[in-house]
Amino acid sequence: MIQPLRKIHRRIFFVLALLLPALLLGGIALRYSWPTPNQSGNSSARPLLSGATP
Amino acid sequence: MSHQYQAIAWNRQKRIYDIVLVTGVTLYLTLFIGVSAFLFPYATAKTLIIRAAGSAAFLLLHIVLCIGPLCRLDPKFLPLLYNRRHLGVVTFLLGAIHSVVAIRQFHSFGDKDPLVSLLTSNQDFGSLPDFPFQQLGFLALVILFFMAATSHDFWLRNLTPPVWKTLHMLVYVAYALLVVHVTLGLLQSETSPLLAAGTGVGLFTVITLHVAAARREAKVDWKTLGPAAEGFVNACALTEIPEKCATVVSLNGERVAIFKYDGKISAISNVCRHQNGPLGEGKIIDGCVTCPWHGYQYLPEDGASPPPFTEKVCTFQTRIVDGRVWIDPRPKAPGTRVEPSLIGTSEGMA
Repeated sequence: MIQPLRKIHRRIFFVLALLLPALLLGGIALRYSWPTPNQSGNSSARPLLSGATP
Repeated sequence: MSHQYQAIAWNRQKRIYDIVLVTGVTLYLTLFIGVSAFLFPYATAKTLIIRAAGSAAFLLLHIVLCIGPLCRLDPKFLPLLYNRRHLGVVTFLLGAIHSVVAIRQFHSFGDKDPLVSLLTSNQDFGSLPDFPFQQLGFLALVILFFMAATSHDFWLRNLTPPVWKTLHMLVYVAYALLVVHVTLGLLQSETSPLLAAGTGVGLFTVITLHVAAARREAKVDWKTLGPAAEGFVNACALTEIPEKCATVVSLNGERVAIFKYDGKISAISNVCRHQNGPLGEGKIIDGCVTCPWHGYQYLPEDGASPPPFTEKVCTFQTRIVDGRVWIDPRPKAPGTRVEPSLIGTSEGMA
């Protein structure tokens, strides 16, 4: 009765263990270079994302 | 354990659990908002609430997800499991506060309905940095809502434990959505390495604990039992079973708990009827096998809960031969009485 659930659980975690670290690292690596205070005049700076809190 | 409907069957442990939970969450929110207001004086009250509630929900979800494997690895953590569903409900409530305030902040000033705006304003699914992360958070919240709404034993009983457990496995989907929500949302605009490292450590902890617990569980399932004779399987030595406790073996892919108590041996299914808890990790208390998760009890001879309770689990025929326990792997119907094998009266086996 519980073994099929265990198998599903194992498979879910196998997928998550591969997928989530890759997404986390990819998301950080590919993020925009946000302007630092001494670059405030940079006209190529992207506007804040929709929903990003200032 | 309850045999009739109650909103919450309060007891001392649940009260202490909830007091600690509410105090901890209140302290976290107060500290977070206080320190953030000091460090970022230009941040609005709404922004502080969004951040405080969102981070609290995300942290709490990590704790919820770590409790299960921690209990598999060390029974010391079992008290945390007892009322875990209240942690889940609080996680949903914090997530709901985060979402409602965020939707009001970012989607309620246009001519579109705020929910329509949330779901349609950003559809840049092809770009990782511009990905519509808010939709992911919203989807995770919908999953957490269904889990919180069905967390009561009423739903557990009506949906049946396997269906209920399957439904609640969606928490892993919600977690994955939230990790991506944070990565493509907060971590895009906030470049502090501390935030990225914190998210990474949380993810690493959850995955490592689950993998470690799964490896430990797999050892039981993959353990090779002795040869079979007369339809019985050589399961374990008597000396392997501690008094008033059990050894768990896997028969035909399902687990059986073999209990030793008062000079007798009985075997019942390892799966509690309540939430599929591991009965073999419980003890015999007052003559009953007691589930370590929520205290559901069963008589070892017939696998039935003592009256007025009605839960029943399968039982198994046992024999003792030369200091070893043999089991008939064919389960008896739940609640079927099986005479316990008496220790010291070894039977012959062809």
